[in-house]
Amino acid sequence: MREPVLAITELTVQYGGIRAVDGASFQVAEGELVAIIGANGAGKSSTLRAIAGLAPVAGGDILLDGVSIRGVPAHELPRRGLALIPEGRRVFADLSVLDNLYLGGYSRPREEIAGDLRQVYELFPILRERSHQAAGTLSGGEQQMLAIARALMSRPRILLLDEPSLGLAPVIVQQVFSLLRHLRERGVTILLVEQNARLALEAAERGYIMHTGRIVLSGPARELAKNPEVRERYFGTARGSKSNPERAPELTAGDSA
Amino acid sequence: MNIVRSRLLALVLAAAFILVGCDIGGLAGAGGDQIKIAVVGPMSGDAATYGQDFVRGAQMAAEKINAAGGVDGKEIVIEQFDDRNDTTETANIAQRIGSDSSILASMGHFTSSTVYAAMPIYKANGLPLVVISASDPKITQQGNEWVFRVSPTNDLGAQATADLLVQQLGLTRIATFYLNTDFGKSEHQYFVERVQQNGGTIVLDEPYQPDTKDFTSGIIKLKNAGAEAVYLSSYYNDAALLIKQAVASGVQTRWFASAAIISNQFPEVGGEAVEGVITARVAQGENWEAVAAEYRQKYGAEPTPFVIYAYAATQAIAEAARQGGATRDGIRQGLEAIENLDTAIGPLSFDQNRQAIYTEFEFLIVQDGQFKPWTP
Amino acid sequence: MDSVTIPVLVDQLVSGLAIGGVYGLVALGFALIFGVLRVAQFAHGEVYMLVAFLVLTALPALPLGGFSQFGLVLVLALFLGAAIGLAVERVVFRPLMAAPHIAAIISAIGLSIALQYLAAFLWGAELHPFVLNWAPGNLTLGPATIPAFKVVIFVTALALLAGLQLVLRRTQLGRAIRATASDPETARLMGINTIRIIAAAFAVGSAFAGAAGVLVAALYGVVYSSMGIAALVKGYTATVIGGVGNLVGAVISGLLLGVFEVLLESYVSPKWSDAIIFALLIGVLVLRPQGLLGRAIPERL
Ligand SMILES: Nc1ncnc2c1ncn2[C@@H]1O[C@H](COP(=O)(O)OP(=O)(O)OP(=O)(O)O)[C@@H](O)[C@H]1O
Ligand SMILES: [Mg+2]
Repeated sequence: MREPVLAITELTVQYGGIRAVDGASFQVAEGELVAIIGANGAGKSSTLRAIAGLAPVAGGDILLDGVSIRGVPAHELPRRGLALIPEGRRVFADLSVLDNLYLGGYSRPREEIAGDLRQVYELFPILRERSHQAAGTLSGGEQQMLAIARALMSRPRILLLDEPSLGLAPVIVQQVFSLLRHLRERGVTILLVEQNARLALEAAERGYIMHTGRIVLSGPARELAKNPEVRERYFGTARGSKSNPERAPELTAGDSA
Repeated sequence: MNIVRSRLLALVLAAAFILVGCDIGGLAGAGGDQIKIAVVGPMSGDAATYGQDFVRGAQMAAEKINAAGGVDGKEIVIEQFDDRNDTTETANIAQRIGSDSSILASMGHFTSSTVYAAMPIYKANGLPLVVISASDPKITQQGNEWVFRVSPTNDLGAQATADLLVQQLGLTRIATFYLNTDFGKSEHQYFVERVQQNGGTIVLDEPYQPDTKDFTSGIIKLKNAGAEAVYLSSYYNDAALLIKQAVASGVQTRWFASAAIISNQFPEVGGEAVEGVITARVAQGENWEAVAAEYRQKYGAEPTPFVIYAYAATQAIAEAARQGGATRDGIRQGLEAIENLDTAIGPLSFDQNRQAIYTEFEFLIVQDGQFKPWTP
Repeated sequence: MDSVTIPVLVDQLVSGLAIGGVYGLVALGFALIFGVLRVAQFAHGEVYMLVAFLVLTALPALPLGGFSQFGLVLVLALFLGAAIGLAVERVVFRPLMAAPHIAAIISAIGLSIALQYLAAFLWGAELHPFVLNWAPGNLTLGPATIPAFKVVIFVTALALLAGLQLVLRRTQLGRAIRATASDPETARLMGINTIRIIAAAFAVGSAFAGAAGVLVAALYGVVYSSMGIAALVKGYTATVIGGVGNLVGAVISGLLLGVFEVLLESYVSPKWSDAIIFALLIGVLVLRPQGLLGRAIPERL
């Protein structure tokens, strides 16, 4: 197996009395696209935010390239190769697209920013056209592209995405996922959190199912996608219902890989 | 824990404010062997130096009188009160003084506005008040038989200056600035009336608010008013700043101002710009100079006129107690009876309005950063 | 009453722009700090006052004359302001970063009072003359003759404001400040140490307060321990009118406020001018909390 870029062991996140993540362990290897699937409130965002230094870690460890980054302040992490694209995109709405991209490169040596910008513009020609427009005036899809482009400006070893499909029209969601596949082909390591399980598992190599703060199932994405329990609860197809977290504990089967 | 702590802190702070707010005075009872005089004025804040002058002048006189056996064996005791130069606080403090039966007379309240606020309260309590700085002539024209004044009224200096300008110097186009308070408005009015009686013209009539530091708008008007001279009904800080800013703006004219500018601070703040400014004040005789010399020796500084007036007021109250008896009404009657009493301001007599009579004036000019005698 | 002539009007406008430039500097510093901290720095006026006093104290040791003295005084004021700002941030605001905002606001008010007492204790509560060894004389502008120093103040204020805009728009530090103001958490994800950025905003904002302090001291010719109050009130008013967090708005409304004030004092009454300005402030707070210029200039910070 490839060296893990990111290795999470027994991660616990606690907000006062609320335990949002409860001993979750998982890994992401070099060049891999890994998806974490879970319903609302499962603890997905808390997991990513804890890794990025934004949420309080109550237990466990986070290794980036074998080195613990637990307790490292959030603003140190881009320099170490970790970039989080937060839930809701969080572009700097009043700032121009170009300023957003420059800020993405904040941790980079000044002289390399211009080159990185050129590459990002090649990948996202629309952003070059809009470079002097306030980011808040972009459409939702364009803002998601900008959020991804901004993260790429830091040339991350690993990219963490929190629900990039949220609130976007299906066509745009397709575009976002094909972009993710494209990035993976170019060797970018990606940890993706999604409620849209079908698309996420299609794009990913491996997946983890998270429920009430725990990893309850994991395996190759293709196998998870075939798992009837997963399909029923997270694909929202068979009975036309959306995810049904109330019944998820049946999936405590552990690692099926 | 944070909330508890900050609540606690708030409580402690509030308690501290309350303690600082009320000085723990008035505990001494009425002594049969004392004549207690309240000295009231701004003892804190911007004008605190005036309150300090009041206390120093009164204290110096009391020491002198007590050393010579007091008033029929009774000791003069000075107790200071802070009215913060604020009319609301003045009403409170005057009430406190009035209801303290150990106090037989009061002197002070720095400005005309605070004196007006205090006057009816003294009358209601039957306590004599001797005014030692406030200069609005109308203060002693209210028919309030409890209010006396040893300091001069501002109409006198303003009228002397108006005569000087129009009659002696032949300056007829005159601009005026005045502080928009009882003091400034009244002194301004006497000046303007006298100029007009003398055949002069007021080409600018510009009020300004207390604590003004920026005189821009008035100065622009002054620049375009074609004035031959300017008269300021101002205190020293305002006058110094106004003249300084006007000179910096290229105004060239001759400056005159009320006697309230007489202070070391005036040339200090005004610098070069106030060289040549002229003011009129009551003439100061030998007694004045003697008290001033004593003050210089004691405090190493030049006394303001208020030191002398407080000194004279204390002398007058002591004499009144001697003549009328050591009671509130006795002192009031004693004050009314005073005739040519030898005091720090010279021979003191009151007119029928209980206003000290002044007849002689002298002019001062700022030269080399000091007020010096000047004759037209 | 008084007739309005062109020279008078020009004089009034120039005077208004000079003092308005000072208000703009104070407002800008206040808005900059508020932008990144979301807490009103109510001791901002005391930074302005302290710098004026410190420069006054240093003045005899600056034996230069003429324009070079002015330049040196300005640079000194900027540095002193920055230093005081950094100290205030470190000692008062940073320890309260995690506390409720009200704690920081109360501390700032307490600091404001404490610094006024400190200045009164160190230098005395009376007015202190402040005179530069430089008198640029008068300037003829068409039919009007105006004091050149007022133009100098206006130009200085504009140059500082333009300099800040350049930094905010063109440098990574400037972008980091704007990002921190816009969304501090996401700013950290960009690798921005927001604690340092807040300190930087304090340094820059307070440097501007320092510059404003000496400009006013030289304009009025005086320094005193309570001078910060008026500055804060006018700066705060300009900030609110301009739309809180809108830096360009703060500057524009500072300038307009200066002109408006001179015109009010000249044509309405000096007695009512402050009251009218307060009424305006309250009116804006109640009716248009986003500021009068909030919509015209959408970009904040
Ligand atoms: N800052 C916080 N303080 C307290 N509780 C929080 C906080 N953030 C999240 N939680 C709680 O932690 C739990 C997990 O939340 P989290 O946002 O990680 O879920 P999620 O899987 O990302 O959900 P979604 O799909 O809705 O985004 C929830 O119960 C949430 O209410
Ligand atoms: Mg989430």
